[in-house]
Amino acid sequence: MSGTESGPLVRVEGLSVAYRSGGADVTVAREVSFEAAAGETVAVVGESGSGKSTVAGALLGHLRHGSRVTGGRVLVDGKDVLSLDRRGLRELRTRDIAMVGQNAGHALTPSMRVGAQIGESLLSQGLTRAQRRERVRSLVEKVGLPDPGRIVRRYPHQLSGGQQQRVAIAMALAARPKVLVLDEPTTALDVVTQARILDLVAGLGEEFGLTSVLVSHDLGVVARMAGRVVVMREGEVVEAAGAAELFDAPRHPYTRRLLASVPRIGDRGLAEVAEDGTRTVRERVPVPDDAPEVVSLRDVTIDYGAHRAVDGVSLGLRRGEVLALVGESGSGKSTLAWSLAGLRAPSSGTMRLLGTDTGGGDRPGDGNQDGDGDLAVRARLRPPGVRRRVQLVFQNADTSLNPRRIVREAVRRPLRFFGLAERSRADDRARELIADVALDPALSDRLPGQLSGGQRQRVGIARALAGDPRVVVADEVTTALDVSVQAAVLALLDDLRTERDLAFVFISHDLAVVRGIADRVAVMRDGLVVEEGPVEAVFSGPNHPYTRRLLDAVLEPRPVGAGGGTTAQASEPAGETAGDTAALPRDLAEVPDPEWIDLGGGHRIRRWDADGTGPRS
Amino acid sequence: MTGSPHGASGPAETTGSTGTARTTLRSLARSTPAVVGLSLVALHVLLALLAPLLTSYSPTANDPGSALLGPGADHWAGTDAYGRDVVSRVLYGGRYALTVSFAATACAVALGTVVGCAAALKGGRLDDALMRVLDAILAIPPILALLVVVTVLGTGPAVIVLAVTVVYAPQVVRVVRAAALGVAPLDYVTAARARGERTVSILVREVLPNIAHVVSVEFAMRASWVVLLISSLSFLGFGANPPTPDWGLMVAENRTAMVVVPWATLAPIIALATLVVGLNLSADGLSRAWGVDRAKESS
Repeated sequence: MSGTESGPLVRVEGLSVAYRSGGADVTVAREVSFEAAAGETVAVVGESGSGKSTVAGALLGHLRHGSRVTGGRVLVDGKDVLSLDRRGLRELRTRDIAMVGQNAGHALTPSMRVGAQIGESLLSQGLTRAQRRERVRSLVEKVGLPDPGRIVRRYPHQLSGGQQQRVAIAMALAARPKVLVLDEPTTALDVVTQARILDLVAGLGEEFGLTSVLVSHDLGVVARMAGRVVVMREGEVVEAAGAAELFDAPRHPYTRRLLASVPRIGDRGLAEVAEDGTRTVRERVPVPDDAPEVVSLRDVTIDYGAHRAVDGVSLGLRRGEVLALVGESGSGKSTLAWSLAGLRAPSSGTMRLLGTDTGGGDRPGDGNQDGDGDLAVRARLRPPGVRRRVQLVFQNADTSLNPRRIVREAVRRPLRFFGLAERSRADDRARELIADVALDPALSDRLPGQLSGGQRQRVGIARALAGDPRVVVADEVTTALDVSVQAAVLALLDDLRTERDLAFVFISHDLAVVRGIADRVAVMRDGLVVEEGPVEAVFSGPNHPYTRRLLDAVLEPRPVGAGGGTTAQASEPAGETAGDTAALPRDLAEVPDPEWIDLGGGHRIRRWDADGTGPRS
Repeated sequence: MTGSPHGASGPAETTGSTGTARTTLRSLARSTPAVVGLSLVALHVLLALLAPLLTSYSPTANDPGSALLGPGADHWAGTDAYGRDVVSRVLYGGRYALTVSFAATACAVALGTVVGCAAALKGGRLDDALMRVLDAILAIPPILALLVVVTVLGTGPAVIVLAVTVVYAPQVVRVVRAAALGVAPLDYVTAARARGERTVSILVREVLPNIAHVVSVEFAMRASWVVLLISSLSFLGFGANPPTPDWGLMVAENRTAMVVVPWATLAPIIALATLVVGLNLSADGLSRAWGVDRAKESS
């Protein structure tokens, strides 16, 4: 951490960048200054549009098409990056500075073996072929990829996201740079992989004495990695301080608000953040004990060809309840949710919508006289009265709305399609729904491209509400949003739940968000539910070792105010690992159920093998 | 139109369609080839429309008395072996070429678009089977396929439209399918599927508006080939029947007298060349203005 050499290795002085749009200059970065001493990790944090990626690009002398520098200097190892010519830039990028981008899948050439791609970064060093191969091998080992001899012969698509990112890191390190720029290096990865990659980067940084500039929106990641933090907002630096200082006592109100907006795993409800950055945790409205079940899943199995994505899941969902599905990518949580929404029929098992007889709304001819509906078929085959009761909200607000249609049309269509509004009333009804999701109805004439991410996500929610659903399947709905916007959208979902008695299936990999909004949690792994229970019980343990691992991988900025927990707090029931079934109440071990350990109160854990990984066979 | 935070909050922006139109126009106007191409096509359309006003001669009436005249005050480009005015025949020939090729292209593109979108949306076995069949069709050279159709069904505009549709629709299917495949997995299409919408309404409401630019470029590019193909057919004697004023036919008829009245052959050639080049340049300009990567789409 301590800079042994004199003078900072990276210095940005009064950098301003602008691009031309519609005949006017739009400033993306204004008078940005910071520096990073040798061996130091500096984080640039900010929400989308804060200009942080522009600054990261400028460090390598790269500007997005159409942008130009309107002032300032960028010095890397004493060289003025922005005044370098083509040749100088190439030299800079091969010797002094390297970058690891957000999506390694896009950064790697799909038709080239990864070993060859890493080897390419070594070409400039004038090594023989054998030396290069040796270096590639050692790099692959260094970044912790398994079986180096074989993995270098693989193609990028044969690797997992985490492995791709490791390859990208190996490529960056190949040229032995002095400075490493990390642009959202773990945003596309799930928590467990993220933790491993961050450990790797931190370890390598120390080993090679790298100076790192980390660009991220995730304050948890920043707290884990950075020695110094630069907070940016709308192109300007609002605060720069040491990490400890910044997280303990943020000075700028924006920083305070940003920190307060981050959901904490210790919160027992949704946090609400006032303008001045004070945060209150909203009391969660408990689901009444007599709430009827609306969806019941029994032994649901879903196959993709020979691959079994969901393997015998049984879950129930009550009215007004938020059930969170948690798990790494590939755990089958999204597949299960999409199947529930009618996009893929399960191969076996039952999925039922229960008790649609709430009076009103249901018109004759809906085809569900007994009040039940079979959900184990694709949407087309469900009667409309059942179909509209289960609605989907998508993760990516960018692609969930048709870019060629005004947003009111997106809400109007389901109203008309399900016959819930007359032609003449549909427009008004659509406007009302848009107002219901706390959006200005005047925006309803806009195209999706003219709205912000948060606004688009609200339209997506309004579209789901248009069918007057009983169950809303929300697939990572806040993942792509900035923390402050995320907080507002979560609060909206919570309001809708209580106002309309909606049940939510809330898919997320962010456990802090889950703690805030969910009533019950089901943890999935490899298509199986490994743990299920009320949110408090799951978060206080005891847990399945896999849940434990997820909880331990959560990164949080340091606590604000009182009562907040650190990551360490999450793993509080000490020694809670694979070996200690003994920590569970003795008598439970004698319960005859061979598959589950029942902890009472609906909290149950799947039995596991002694090594704590696989399910008990 | 991506999620740029600055663009998203621009209050000065009007509705997107006029915005798109304006950027398209601006981009077209900046490119000289696009301007030249569009002007050439517009000129051809205008001349074809105004043909009766521009010339008093009938394009088909024979006048043996004034056969094989050189260019002069009465006949600007001279006359052919039957004494018909060359300018008049070229002007009316433009009508014929434009109508037939427009109709043929429209049929091919419409059919190809529907089938291509359906293949992309339905996917699975239907898609696989269809693509293999199309591959087989694409292996046959277009002119050969055309000749077979024309030989079996006889000549005439309707047959030519049908023949061109059969030959070109498979190629359009490939291009449109590739474009629709890019749209099909997007969440708004998924949302429509989850709603249980029929494939037709998903196609019309969600997919078509988002691949309209690809279809338009495809249309312009395809049209230039169709014009050429139809003229080639006529030249070979399988297209328009004499005395229809058709450029290909004119070249065929007058090439023996080329030394005597060169303009009777040259004029239709010039007309044909300018129209094809114009269509080609327009397609190129449009695809650049809309960012349609033709090489990528057809792969």
